[in-house]
Amino acid sequence: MCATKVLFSRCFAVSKLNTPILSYIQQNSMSVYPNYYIEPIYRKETQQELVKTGEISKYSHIPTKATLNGQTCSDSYDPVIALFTNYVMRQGLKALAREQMDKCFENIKRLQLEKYHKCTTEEEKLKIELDPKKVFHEAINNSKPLLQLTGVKRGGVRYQVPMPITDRRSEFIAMNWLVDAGKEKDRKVRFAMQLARELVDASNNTGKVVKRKQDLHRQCEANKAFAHYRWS
Amino acid sequence: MRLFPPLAFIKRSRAVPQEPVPYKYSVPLKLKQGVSNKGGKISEVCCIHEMSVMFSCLKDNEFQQQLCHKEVESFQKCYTSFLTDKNQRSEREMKGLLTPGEKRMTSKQLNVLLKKYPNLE
Amino acid sequence: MIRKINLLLEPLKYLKIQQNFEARLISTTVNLFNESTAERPATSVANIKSKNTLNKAMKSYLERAQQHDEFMKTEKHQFEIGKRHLANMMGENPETFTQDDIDNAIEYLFPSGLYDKRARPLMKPPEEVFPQRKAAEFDETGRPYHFLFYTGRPNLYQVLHDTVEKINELNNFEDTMIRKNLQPDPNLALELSGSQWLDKNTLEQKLVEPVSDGEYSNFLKAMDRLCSLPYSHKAKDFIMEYRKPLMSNSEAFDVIKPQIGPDGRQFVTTYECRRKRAIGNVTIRFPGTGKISINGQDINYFKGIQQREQLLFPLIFTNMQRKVDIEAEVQDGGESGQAGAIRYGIAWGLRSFIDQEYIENMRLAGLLTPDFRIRERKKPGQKGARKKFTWKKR
Repeated sequence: MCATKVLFSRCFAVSKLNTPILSYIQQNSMSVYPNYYIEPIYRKETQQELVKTGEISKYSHIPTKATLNGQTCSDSYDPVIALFTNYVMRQGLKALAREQMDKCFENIKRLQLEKYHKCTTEEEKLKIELDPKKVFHEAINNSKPLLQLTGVKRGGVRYQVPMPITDRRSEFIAMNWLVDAGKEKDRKVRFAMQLARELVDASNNTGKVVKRKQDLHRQCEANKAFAHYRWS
Repeated sequence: MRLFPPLAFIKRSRAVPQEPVPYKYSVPLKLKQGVSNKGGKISEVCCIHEMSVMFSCLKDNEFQQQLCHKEVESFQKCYTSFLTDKNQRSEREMKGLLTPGEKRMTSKQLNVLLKKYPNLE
Repeated sequence: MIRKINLLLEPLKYLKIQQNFEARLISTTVNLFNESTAERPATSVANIKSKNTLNKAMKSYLERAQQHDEFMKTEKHQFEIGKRHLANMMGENPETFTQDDIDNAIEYLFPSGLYDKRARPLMKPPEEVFPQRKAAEFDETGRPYHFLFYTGRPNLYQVLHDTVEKINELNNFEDTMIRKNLQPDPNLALELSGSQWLDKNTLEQKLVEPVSDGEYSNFLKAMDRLCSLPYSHKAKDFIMEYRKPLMSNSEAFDVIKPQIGPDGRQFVTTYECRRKRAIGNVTIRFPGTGKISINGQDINYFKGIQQREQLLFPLIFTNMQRKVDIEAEVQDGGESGQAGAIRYGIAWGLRSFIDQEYIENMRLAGLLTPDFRIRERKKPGQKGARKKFTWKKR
């Protein structure tokens, strides 16, 4: 037992302090996981595709992070809708946001069914999309802007310069615009209903959000002379 | 006093500089084996041609995107390829690698090159 | 002199150099240096004086090295005796008492509430506790044992030297293969995706020498170049010495053996499944019909659909939703936390009832990784965990 006593007293002297962060010791100060952990592949289809191409062997020795709370392998899970629900959410009330989304989809279905039953010809009926999720995706696609305006300061003046945009940022802007459009309404109209109307309009390339996108494009076109002021 | 005539001939005036003046320098007159990192970033402006083509098309179609499908696609393609190039270049720069035949190099890359092939002394 | 040798070694760090020319150059310079120190003219007084002081320093150095060796010997002896005593105390066989058993025994006998694990009582072999020191690096005449001793860091430069030798070897081998019109076999190619280079500290410990940042990056560049060669698999043993695996002995595949319950069905219980503040135990019974009970209630225990989806996730992923019965007890935490805890418990328990390849699929899906994320504490002087108070200029 003397060995343990001696070792116990000496272990303090040997304990090492935290080393400074170096370029090759990659530490992720914000993440619980070390930086070599990969994102989980929780969709069955994605895993099967990897098995086919043979890429799955690459991941056999690399640890994965845990799947998030909202992610499942079920068919009813849509990552775009999950992302949009997050943008709808306020103060971390996910359950409420989900409820609103469910109501919104129900409203879309009702609106589309109303139109469907009012149609007289088969041609018109075929044009109406009844699946709320498809309407949603179409709306998002139609609301995505192609460029963004950034303020660049030259000679004391702040110019609005048009600049290309990444797909992710474009999607982010489109989703935020849709949520904003759902909020600006008559006091008697609920968010879910207003959002449903906006989504249906956007899927038909009409409505406030698409107009906002087109206004942005017009402004970019007007300012295209400043495009050379960009830094990258 | 007559005993010390040489006194009269001892120079007491201020030291007149010789010709040519020997230049005194504190630092050796040699080029530094490197380039200053102060220069600032190279401003990379991309896809302006594609953008202008897209704008002209949009204006003709009253900003209806569906009719300008091709131009929009080429513009987006240009930007994505630009981003991948930029990432690759910055990765190479981080590692200190150089591509032969590069037109523009950052100060960091120039310093790597100069270390390998320093200025002659 | 050392600087000159370092300058000579500079080209070693860049690649595709001529065969062993530099190595030979170094060894000759080192030999020359040895010769110059070995010849000690005993004539002048000054030389005799310097010889004595040199010998004194060397003597004390050798003495210290010897003392360290003896010290380590006694420590090791004490450790062995202590280990046997500990085994006797715990009622275990001293012959088969492993380091894990020692750790468990110490934790049991000396329970500590200290936060840092390194501050708690430990009993490890002396090589792990005391910093490694090099044995005597030169003999009484002052002649060093290592041919790169005068670089100041012989072990590090030995590694670089070996790397470059291997690169040259493999380049020559590639040349011969090209002459024979043979291609490298893609099946034999080196697999480096599951490991990463030793970090700087581990390398320092391994080499028992200090390594600077620049030297470490040079080491990595040299190793990367070695790995990029087409026949790098021939140097696999050498390369793997300096790589550590990303995933250590996959626990995911150590499957718990199911027990037999009173009704004759197999079952597996996973205890202490955690997510945020929720703790639960999950029992899976094998030939089942898909019944789920949580704290005695149905799946409707969870009001939210997201939580119910989370429970069903591992079952649907492995297609076991109608083949097993789930009984879970969970407490503390919120709805999502409890759902996450049970999900982990279900996934962990399901491993005993499915094939090996499905376990790998579950691991890739992130079901077998425990989610350690917890709520970050509020800090004093700030409004929240990250949010600061309004910044006032004055």
